[in-house]
Amino acid sequence: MTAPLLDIRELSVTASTASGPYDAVREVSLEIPRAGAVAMVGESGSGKSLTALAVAGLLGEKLTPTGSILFDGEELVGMPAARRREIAGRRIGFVFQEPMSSLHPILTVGQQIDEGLRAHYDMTTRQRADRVRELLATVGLSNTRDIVGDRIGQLSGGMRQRVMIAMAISCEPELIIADEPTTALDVTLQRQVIDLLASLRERLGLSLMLITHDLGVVAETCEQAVVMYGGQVVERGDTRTLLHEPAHDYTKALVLSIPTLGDTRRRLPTVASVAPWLSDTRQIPLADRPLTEMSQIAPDHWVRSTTAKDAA
Amino acid sequence: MTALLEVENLAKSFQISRKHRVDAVKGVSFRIEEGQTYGLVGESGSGKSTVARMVARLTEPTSGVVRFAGDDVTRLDRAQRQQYRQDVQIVFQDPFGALNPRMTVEELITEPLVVHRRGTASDRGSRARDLVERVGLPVSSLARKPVDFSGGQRQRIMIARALALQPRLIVADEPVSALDVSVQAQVLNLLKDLQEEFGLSYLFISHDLSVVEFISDQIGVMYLGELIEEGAKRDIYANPQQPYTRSLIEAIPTIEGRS
Repeated sequence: MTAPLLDIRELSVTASTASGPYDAVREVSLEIPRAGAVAMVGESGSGKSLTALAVAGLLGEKLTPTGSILFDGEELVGMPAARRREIAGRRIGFVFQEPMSSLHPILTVGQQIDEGLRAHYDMTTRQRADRVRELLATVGLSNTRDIVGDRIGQLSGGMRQRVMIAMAISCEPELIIADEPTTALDVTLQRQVIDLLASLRERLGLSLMLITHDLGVVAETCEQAVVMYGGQVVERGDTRTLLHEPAHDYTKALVLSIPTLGDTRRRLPTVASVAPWLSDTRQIPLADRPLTEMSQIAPDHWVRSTTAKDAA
Repeated sequence: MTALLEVENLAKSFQISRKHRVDAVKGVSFRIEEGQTYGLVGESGSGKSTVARMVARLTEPTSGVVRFAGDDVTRLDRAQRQQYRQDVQIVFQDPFGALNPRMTVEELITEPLVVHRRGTASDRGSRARDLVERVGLPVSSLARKPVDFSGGQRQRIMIARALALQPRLIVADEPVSALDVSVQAQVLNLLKDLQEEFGLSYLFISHDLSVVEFISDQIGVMYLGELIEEGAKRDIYANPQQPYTRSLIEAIPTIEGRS
């Protein structure tokens, strides 16, 4: 078996706050295989975005990662900034939720896509201009009008998200980290972006780390999923098993709480009704919650033992 | 039977410049029966929020009629208008932007009562306690400010505030779109419980078809300012007539994955 492209081992992210340090991410371990797609699922504050930012090296000075993040065998935690930029800038691409605030309002579409090319490649202006058009074609933005000279404000939400994807793949990365890439989009545009990500994976052999709270998107995009709750991974495994035979109470609650088409339920189950013990833990500060063992219950299915049972 | 709310040929145009006019809403008609939920779906820019604002009288229609309990709400006298503003309340999408950060929860919930001169200060205080408990928050919340609450809790505060004047119709514009799925389920359940308890009617706006299906009795689909299809929810989902409605339904990602 070949080594995974991304191998995260016991990653913690410590936040320093006025009331002292606490771990916002606690001993997260996960792997993303080459050309594989892994979803990170969980509610706001569960630590999924922080985990992604730790991989990106974008944590900022108040957040400190410990543990290990191996990217293609190289340790990212504690790596010198210059070397890290080389990896995070070229070999890892990012797509964020809100294209309106992640893209520059004044620079043109062409200038923004060109930025990565200029920083990481030794190409002539002409070559880069050709590459920009090629990238726009790859993300499906060449068959309407020419938007190279457009500013972000002139584009629709779906087009903006495509521009961001074009930027993310501009330096031919091996891994794309997409943080809620479809959340701000209408359902029809969401469908287009999901299909685009899937086809890029196939055409370019990319690995994908997809952060989302939409389990439907997870099912259609990723073979594997990681469920986070309170800064910890509570369950991980292949997507089908996780969504159809969830083992952890939180995953069960998550799956049950979503209304689906043709739903005849009068009420939706919630975390509080499916797993009262779990909603009780909400009152406990993250740092004081016990960190129990993960156990393997199937070849590709890991679940964290429930604290309630251990305490009993 | 007269409907609680009847919207007839409602239209709104915005004059963008001397030459450009945007017809945001074109000839929209629907009705909401007492105690029922009418779900309005469509993508951004389809005009659904403009319809909501016109029903709540936050935006003046260019033409058309909104009748509430039989009365044309564009031709109400002062007293009737006051009554309408109590009977119809609105809950917005963004609980962070819609609550005044400097007010306590008690002030936020009792403000509508103060504006409409309802009850004594102590009546209002006890009403606030009832409401805050009814939406599932501890009474101790009353002294705190919005910043102390999560998105789901803020949406509960907004709902408590909307209930303060005992409205008959609540216009909910994307009330759960900004919430995590587990919190979304709690708020949807709460809205259903309140409807049963108080006989409320809802005009429920959302771009999420599964959410709209869960909460609604009747559904209308908007596209480019027009209501292109409407009916009982079972019919809309089982047998959509318009290609656009079909494409909306097919675009929803499902846990089953795509075959």
